[in-house]
Order: sequence, then C-alpha cells, then structure tokens
Amino acid sequence: MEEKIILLVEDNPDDVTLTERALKKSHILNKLVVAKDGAEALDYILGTGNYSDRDMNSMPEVVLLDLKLPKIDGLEVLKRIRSDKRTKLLPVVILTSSKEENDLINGYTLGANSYIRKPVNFNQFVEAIHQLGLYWLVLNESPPMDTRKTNG
Amino acid sequence: MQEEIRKSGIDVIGNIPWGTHFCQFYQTKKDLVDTLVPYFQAGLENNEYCIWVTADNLTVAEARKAMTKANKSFSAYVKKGQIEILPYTEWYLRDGSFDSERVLNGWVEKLNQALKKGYAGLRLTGNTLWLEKKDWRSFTDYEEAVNNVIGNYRMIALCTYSLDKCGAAEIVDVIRNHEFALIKQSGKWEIFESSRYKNTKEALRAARDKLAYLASFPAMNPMQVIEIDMAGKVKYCNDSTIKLFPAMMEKGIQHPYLIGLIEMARTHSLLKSGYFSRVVEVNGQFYEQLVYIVGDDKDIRIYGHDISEHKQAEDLLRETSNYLNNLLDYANAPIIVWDPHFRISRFNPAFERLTGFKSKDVLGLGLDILFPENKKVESMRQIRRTLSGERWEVVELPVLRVDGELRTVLWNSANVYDTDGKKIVATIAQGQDITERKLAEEAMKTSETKYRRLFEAAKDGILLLDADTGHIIDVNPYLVEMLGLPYREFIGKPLWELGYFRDIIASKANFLELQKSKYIRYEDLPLRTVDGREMKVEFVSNIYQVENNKIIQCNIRDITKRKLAEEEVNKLNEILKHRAAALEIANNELEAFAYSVSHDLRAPLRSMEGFSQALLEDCFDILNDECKDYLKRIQNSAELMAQLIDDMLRLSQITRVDMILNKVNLSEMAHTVAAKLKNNSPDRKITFEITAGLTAYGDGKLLSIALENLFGNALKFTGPVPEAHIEFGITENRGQKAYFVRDNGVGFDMTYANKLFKPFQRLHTIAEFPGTGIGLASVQRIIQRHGGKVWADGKVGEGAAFYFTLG
Repeated sequence: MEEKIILLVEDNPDDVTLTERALKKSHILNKLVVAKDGAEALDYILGTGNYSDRDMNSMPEVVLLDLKLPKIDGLEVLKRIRSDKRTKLLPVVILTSSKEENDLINGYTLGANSYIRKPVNFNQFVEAIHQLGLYWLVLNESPPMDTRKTNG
Repeated sequence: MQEEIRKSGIDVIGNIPWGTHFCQFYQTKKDLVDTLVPYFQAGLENNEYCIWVTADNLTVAEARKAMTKANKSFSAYVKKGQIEILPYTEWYLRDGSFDSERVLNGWVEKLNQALKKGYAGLRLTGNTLWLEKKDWRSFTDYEEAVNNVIGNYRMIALCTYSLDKCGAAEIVDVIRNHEFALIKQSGKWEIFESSRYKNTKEALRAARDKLAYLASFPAMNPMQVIEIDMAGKVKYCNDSTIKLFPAMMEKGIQHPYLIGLIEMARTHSLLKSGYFSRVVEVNGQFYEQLVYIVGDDKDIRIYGHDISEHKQAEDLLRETSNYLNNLLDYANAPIIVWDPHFRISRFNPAFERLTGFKSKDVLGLGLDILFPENKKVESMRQIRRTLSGERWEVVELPVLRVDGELRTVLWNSANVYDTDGKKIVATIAQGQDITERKLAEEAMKTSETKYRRLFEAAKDGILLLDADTGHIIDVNPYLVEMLGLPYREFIGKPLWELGYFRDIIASKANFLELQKSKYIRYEDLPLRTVDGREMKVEFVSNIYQVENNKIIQCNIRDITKRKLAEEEVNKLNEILKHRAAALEIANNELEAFAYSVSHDLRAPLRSMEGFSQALLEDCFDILNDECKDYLKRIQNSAELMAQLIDDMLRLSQITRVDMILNKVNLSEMAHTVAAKLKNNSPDRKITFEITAGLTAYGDGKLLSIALENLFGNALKFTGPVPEAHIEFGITENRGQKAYFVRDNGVGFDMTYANKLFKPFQRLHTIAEFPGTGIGLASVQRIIQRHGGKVWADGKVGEGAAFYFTLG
C-alpha cells in the first residue's frame, strides 16, 4: 500500500515541532514532509528544483499550508498548485494564525479546500490536528491523480 | 305835465317827478326829523296830500311836535285835513298782520281821495321799524310792487329804514326796490342810486320825455299818435300810425292795437288827468302806449312807440335768466353765489347734495357756514383773496357736511362785476368734490414713497431702462456708488454706451435681443468700476409693463465677496480632499501593520504555550507541583496575550471599518445574540426579556457586536446568580429615550463608573471574572460612531443596567 504523505509548508521551526508533536499525539503516523518556504513547497509538489527527481507518482494526500512564508507566500503557492493540471485537485488546507477576512476570502477563492486557524492553546491545537488528520486522511476520498497521463 | 316835477324839500335831492319812490337809512331820531320835516313842508306848501306813517322810535305826537316847531302854520294844514299822521299799527298792520295788497290798494285809495279833493297828488312816508324778519320777504315784494307801479301815479313815496335793523343783505334788497337811497356818510346825507334801476328808469323817463316832446308834433311824429273818444270812435290818427296800421280808421277800437283800451281807461278813470301805460303786441311787435285822458270830453290820447327790440331784449333777458337759472339748478356741478359781504345768495341743488344743506337754509347766511370750525378763518381768508383780485382761481378747501362728514372741495370762483366793470356785485363759484381723489392721491403718494424708498434703500443696484429705446430711465443710489459714476451720467444714455455691460450688450443689436427675452440672468459678470476696481456681479434683467410703457429692470448684485468666499471654500475643499486621501492612505497602512503585527505576535505565543504543554506532559513525573504551576502560568499568560491581541485588533477594526447604515431590527438582533449565548452555555439557567419591535438606523454588523458585548457581559457577571435574568428594551433615562441592557448580576460600584468604558480597564480580577476589559470600550466606540452615548447604572449586588442612544 502506498503511504499517504502529508506535506507541511511552514517556516517557523517551533510550529513545525509542535505540529509534529500534535500529529504524534493524535496517532497520525503518516510520513510528514516539511517545506520551509513557498519555493521549496512548489519544488516538491511540482517536482522541480531540488526535487526534480522525485517520484511524481506519489503526491501528498493533503497539504497543510501556512500563509506567511518567505520567498513565495502561501496564497501564491496555492495559486500555482491550482494552476498546474497535475496538482489542480490536490487537497490544500490553509493552516494559519490569521483570522483576517481577506485571507479567508482569498484562500477560498484561490481554491483552498479548508481554512483552519491555529489556536494558541496547544491542547486545542492537538484537537484540531486530530480532527484534520481523521478527516483528510481517513474519511476523505482523495481525488484521482494520474500523473502519467499527459493532459495536453 | 308841468306839474310833474315836484320839490322834494330835501337839499341833496332837489326836485323830483311824480312817481319817485326812494328810501332813507336812518340811525337816530334826528336823522328822521331832519329829513321828514322839510319833506312834508315842501309837500304841504305845494298842495300835496300828505300821509306820515310813524313807528315807535318817532311817534305821532313827536312828529306833530317836530312839524309845529318848523312851521307855525302847521296846525292850519292839520285843520284843513291836508296831512295825516298815523302809527304803523293803523296802516301797515291794520288787521294785525301785514297784507301787501291791502296796503297797496290803500295807497291808491288815498291818492284818489286826494285828487278828488283837488290836491295835486300824494306825498307819503312809512317807517319800517316794525318789520320782523318773518315779514321781510313779503314786505320786500311789496316794495317791489310799489316800485313797479308808482311811476304811473302822482305819488311820491319815501320809505325809512333803520340801519340798526338792516344787515348788508337787507340794505341791498331795499336799494334794489327804490330809485335811490338817502344815506348819511361822514355826517352828510348822500344819495345812493341803484344803478340798474337808475339806468332803466332813466331810459324810460328819457323815452317818455321824448314822447312828450314829440307829442307836440303829432303829424310828423314817428310815434303813433291816436285820439279816440270814450265811445270808441277814432277821432284822429297820425300818418305814422296809418302807415303802420292801415286798417286803423276802419277798425277803430276793434283794431288789435286798441283792443281793451277803453276798458282799461275806464278802470283808470279815477285819474282825472295824467296817464297810464301799457304794452300791446301786434303782429309780433311790441308797442308801449302812453294813454292820456284829455280835455273835458275825456278823450283818450294814445302815444305809442315800438319797444319790440327793447321787449325782445327784456324777453331775451328773461329767457336767458330762466335758462341760467335752469342751468344752475340742473347743473351737475355744485354752484354757489355770494354777495360782496360773503353771504350766500345762490345755492344750487348740486351744492345741496355736496353739503347736505338745503338751499333755503343757507341763503343769506355767511359763507363760512360751510367750513369746519377750525378751518373757518383760514378758508375765508383764501376766499377773500379771490375777491381781492389776486390772480389765482382755484383753491382746495375743507367743507363740513351737515352730517359732520368732512369733504375736500376744489373751489373755482370768478367775480361778477357791474356794468361799469368796476364794482363786484357777486362772486360765483363752482365746487368740485375731490375727497376721493385726494385720498387716492395720498394712497398713491404713500405707495410711491414706499416703493421709492425700496428703490433708494436697496442693497442691490437697480437700473430701469425704456424697453423700446434702451435708454436708462432711472438708477438707484446703490448702483451709482457701486460703479462710481455720477447719477446724471446714467440718465438718458443707452445701456450699451455705458460700457460696463459690454459683455451682455455691446450694441443696440444685443439690446433688441434683450428686449425679446423676458428674463436674462448672468451669474458671473466681470465689471470694472470708474476707479479701476475689479468686481464680479450677478446681472438679472426682466421686462414688465407699467401703464402704457414697457420697462426693463436690471438688478445688479455685487457678488465679488461671495465669489471670493466660494473660491475660499473650493480651496479648503481641495485641501480637505487631499487630507482625506492622506488619511485613507495612513489608515490602510495602519491596517496592514496591525494585521501583520497580530499575525507575527501570535506565533511566539503559540510556541510558548505549546512547549509549556510539552514540558507538562513529557516531564510530568519529574516536575513537582510548583513547577507544574509555573508552567501553567506561562501557558495562561500566553493565552491572555493572544486574547489581548485579538481584542485590540477587533477594537481597531471597529474604528476603521466603513459603516453601512440601514434600518436595523434590534429586537431580532438581540434574539440572535441571546440564542448564540444560550447555546454556548448550555449549563446556565438564563432568561432573556427582549422588547419586540425595536428598530434603529445604523450599521448592523457593528450593532450586533455591541449587543454581543453587552449581553456577553451581562451573562458573565450573572455567573454567581442561580438564574440569570437579562433584559433588553427602551426606556427614559437621564432625560432622554435610551435602549438598555439590564441584568441581575453582581453589579458594580458607581464610584468606578468612569472606568467602565476605558479599554483594558477592569473592575475585577481575572480570577473573579475573565476578560480583557475591551468589551465595553468596543461598545462605546461603536455607539460613538453612531453619534450616540452610552452610560451605566449599577449597585453592588443588585445588578447593572447599560443605556445607549443612537444618534
């Protein structure tokens, strides 16, 4: 069975640690790939740059995307993901501290599947991750992703 | 005929013929005596029968005494019976009242008796002292009658009048009916002749004298001379007569010329000698006949002459007189005539209507009766000026009607002079009631003054043009001052020549354009005054009709100041716009900053909290309770800070966000908020009492937040209470209508009321009640943005009430 990968796009190392911890506490043992900025995230997803020799057959099950990122920011990453036929349908959950309405609107407009606000309280954060994991990795039917097909 | 001239006995008079009827105006008894004694003396000496009628001021006895004193042989005359002296009561008022006919006949009777007795004629006098005002008219008529017939008789009559009893009008009446009057002037007796009388009588006398002369040449006499006998046979007829009346000899007394003569002669047969006169009309011509009874046979001699012209003149005069009278009576114009003593002698019906006085009531009265008391003197003075001959004819005088109403009358008067053209005999005036006209004039004047004032005092320039020629008719002081041009420079000039208004009307052609359009308006016309000042004016013109003229009125308003003010305002507006734009930019930057800051601040907080928790979990066994407590505090702080950040952000948003104003249903909103709160606290017992139908005008989102805060607070502070009761409604507090949220919670100390709405100010510790202290600050900010006020009332342990108004 192919392993379901979670791609976490997050620049704050503390937040990465805490997210990993939360996943562990939630008994979510999927492989976690971390991209620490927008460019790296896109390289991974689109198989460019440092990840040009990545097996493109295995796409992440879900992308946890922070908005405030260095180099290329979250919404731009989302845009690009959505504009590539290979990753158009890729589930993206925006995970951010921002409650700004604009971010919310833009996020959904650009095609985010979900928008979750990171709580300061860790327990609440764990609960949120737990729910996330349960939903996207277990409950949700992932879209078909045939990267071999060339859609011209 | 030689007997005709008699001695009067009065020096100043001299000789007088039979038929003389004259009067004397006396003042004293001596006056009477001085005249009457020599008068009768002359009469007695000349075989005339004398009758002296006395009055109370010179009695019969006194008269007798005076006569005796003058002539010792008086008593002989009395014995002879040649003179009668009797009082008026036995003559004029014999039957108790004056009867004109009786008296007249009486005289003739006396004369006849005298003549029978062989006297030459009758000489008489009558003292009129006994006359009362009521008898005056009829006595005057009697005198007139005497005057008309006495010429036919051998009589001499002297009427005496007391000056004391006669006013000017009476004197005039008397003089009119006598040949002449005897009046004392400066101590001397003078003769005063009535000119009219004199002329007519003289003319007649002259005619008669001529007749008498001509009678001596019957054949060649151009007059008619005829002799007939009492039987009616024509004995002689001169050539002139035959020429005139060929049928005379034939027809005899049947001839129209002689018809009725015999009968008249017989009636007058009491005249032994002498003559009578009559007028006959033959073939449209009038002849006056002097008829004499002559000779022992009592033949009748007739001397006639054609008086047709004369008669015509008389008739014409009478006709004219009638005509004039009718004219006066029927004229619409009020006409009044007064004598030289200002007594009314004529007052036509039109004047009666004007004044309300009846003619009979004012005749003989002074002219001043027509004027109001306080104006009598002035009015009479003005009237007198007319008579003095000064050259003016028209005067406005106030006239007081008999009913008390005051009218203004225009008097147009003219003097009537006697035939010599020297003396004024009367003044005739025409009156014109101009009361209404005067009132209209006054009203007009007042109105004119009012509008003139408007024109003069207006604080805008006004220019009036003749609509046909474009010439300036009038300009008001304000415009004169505005343009700095003297008044006379405007008047009469065509508007385009002034140059100021070149933009509107550079030429006559433009003017015609102006003429056609009824209304023109230039909002912003540049103008340059005489002294070079630049100004801006508003020019409005319109055209209207005044009687037969079309006028263009131009209103010119100096709007220089206004324009400057407008420019100022525009400038300020520009500045404001820039400021607003700058403000907008600043706000946007602030917003970005706030967002960025809050986002970036949260991350470290998350770390703090997260890793504290990690520690708590992973090192649970090796940490003692105190350490665990420390870690818990770190966590709490992090969470609190997070909350603060959120609240601050929210508060700033409330201030920044644009309000969208609508009609909002507060009651519904309250229900929604209440429901949410109830949902979030399922374990609390809460009752909400929300007044229905409360609406307001405001931003729904913000008002919702306000209510959330207020209800949330209420819920929080009713925590200790078993059953929370939260009310929302509208009431009156602090003198105005206000919405309120009331709870039955722990309340607060009013001493700290002023801290309630300050951001982050709390009246309790976090331990007592959670919260950052931002809720009420938010509420206040929202309410303030709506233009309202918020305040609170509370008592510790007895709940709190929060009131707010919206604009």
